[in-house]
Amino acid sequence: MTPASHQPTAGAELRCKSLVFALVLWACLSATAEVPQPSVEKMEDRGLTLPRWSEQELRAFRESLPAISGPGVLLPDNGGTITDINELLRTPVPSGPRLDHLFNNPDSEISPRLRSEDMRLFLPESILGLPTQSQTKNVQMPTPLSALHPVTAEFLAACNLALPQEYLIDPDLLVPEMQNHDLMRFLEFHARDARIKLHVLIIAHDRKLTEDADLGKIASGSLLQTDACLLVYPLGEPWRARLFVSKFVHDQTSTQFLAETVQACLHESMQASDAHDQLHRYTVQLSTRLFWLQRALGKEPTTANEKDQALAEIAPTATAGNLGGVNIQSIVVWSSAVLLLLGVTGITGRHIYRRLRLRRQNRVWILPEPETVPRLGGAFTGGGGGMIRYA
Amino acid sequence: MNCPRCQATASPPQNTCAACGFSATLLHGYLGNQWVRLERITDAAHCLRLEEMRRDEVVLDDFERTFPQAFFAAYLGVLPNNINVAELGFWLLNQGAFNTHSFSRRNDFGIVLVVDPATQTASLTLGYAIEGYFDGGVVERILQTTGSHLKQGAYGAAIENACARCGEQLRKHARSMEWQPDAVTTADMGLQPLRGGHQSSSRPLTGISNPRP
Repeated sequence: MTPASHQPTAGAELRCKSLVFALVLWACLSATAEVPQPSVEKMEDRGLTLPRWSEQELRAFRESLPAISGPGVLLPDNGGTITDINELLRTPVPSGPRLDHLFNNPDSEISPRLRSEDMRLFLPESILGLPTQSQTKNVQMPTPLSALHPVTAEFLAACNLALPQEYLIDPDLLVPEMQNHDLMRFLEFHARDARIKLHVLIIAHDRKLTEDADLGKIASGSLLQTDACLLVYPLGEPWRARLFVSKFVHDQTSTQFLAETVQACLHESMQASDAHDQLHRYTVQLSTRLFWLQRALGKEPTTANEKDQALAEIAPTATAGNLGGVNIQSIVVWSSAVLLLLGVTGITGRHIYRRLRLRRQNRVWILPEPETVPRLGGAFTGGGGGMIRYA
Repeated sequence: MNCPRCQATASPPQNTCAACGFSATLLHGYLGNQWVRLERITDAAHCLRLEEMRRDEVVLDDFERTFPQAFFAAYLGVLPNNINVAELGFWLLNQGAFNTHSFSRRNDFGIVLVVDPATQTASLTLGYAIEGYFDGGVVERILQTTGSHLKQGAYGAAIENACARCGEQLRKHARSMEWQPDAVTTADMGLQPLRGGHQSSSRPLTGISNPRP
């Protein structure tokens, strides 16, 4: 190799080295500019490897585990065993006893979650946004007389077994618990101060009291032991309520007052549409009226010989107040009928008059032509007629 | 019947009133003897309102339709001193050609009410054909009722009332019959029915019923 040829070779090698260096430097610079530099922690993490179980440690751990069927082992769904503890730790058990499952189960022993139905126990339904009972109930039509059935003997027997201080007698449990308690407390309050005890017997809307029912035995016969008033109330139909008072009270009281009492109670109850509100209003009004009656009769109860008398019913149909109501109704009906009759008569009369008038208009009247002799030189008249001074 | 001037009784053969000498010829000297054309209601005294006039015309139409032979006329005006309402009624019924719906009505079936608001007098003059149906009491009652309206200034009501009362009185003596349109009268008046071609007496159309054999 000649020096001349050697020199270019060395120069080329030097150039190649410098070119490679330049390329490496450019690559490093470009990588530095584009790729973010890893943090110190990452560098350290990259340097720290996760601990891995060695075969000996794993064998020792397996041996220290309890038996497969022992307590405290979470079993997979398929019932298979997990051989690799790493797999067990990495993947949680897909199904199994969970707490939320326990809470969702209302029958579990753990306290169930509260629902809206449970909230209704101590919150009004209107606050919960639920439809109230009166809204959900349809308007009940009056029960036709043919659909009324007499109360059963068992019902009367249950009424008879009621205690004397049980002023609300509801053997069929027709009144809900809350209203029942309210009404019972009210009747007890009434009985504490009133001379005439008020008993309320609730029957179903399609039931009626038989005529031969012995009301004296109701409430263990307490109605005959003192001045009492028994209200037999068909729930939802206050107009069929029957009111009984002790015969002594009945005889001492004017029929008009008793009739007004029935009418006032009925009128008050009809202010509400809910059956239980009607019962409440009816009872409150009746209690008020009984206090008025007590003021008129005196607070002293009847003597012993006047006790033990049967109950007398206040017949609403034979009362003056009812008659007054009926009178107003009948007056309206009769007035309407008379006006209607007069209208029809007037229209008919006018029609007949028009027909007669039309018929008269279609008829002409022909006068006879008598032979006349002229007077006073007149060709068509001879002074027939007359004259007056109207001043 | 009484003399229009002195109200003395005048019997049929008399041409002049025996008491006062009244006659139609005497009236001709004041009012003339020619025929005068008059409407059924002549309000020379301007007593009637237009509404009353129209209403009374309807009443008079009904009267004439009910009594095809008779008519009722009224004259309201202030008369000269030398003539009274009865004399004017006498003259109007004898010399008047009243503009009724049918010119065939004769004046002897006419009734004329004359009212003089100045002297507050009224008279009812009857033709020969109907004066027999009105005795003295009837005429007096009619005039009294009319006079009560006139006293209140209700001239329209007075005419209406007098016409109605006269109609009631005439109906008692008249014979009722069904009204039928007088075809002869309409033909005489030059009126022809619009749909005469539909009548059976019209000429049948030829060449339409059997266009081809």
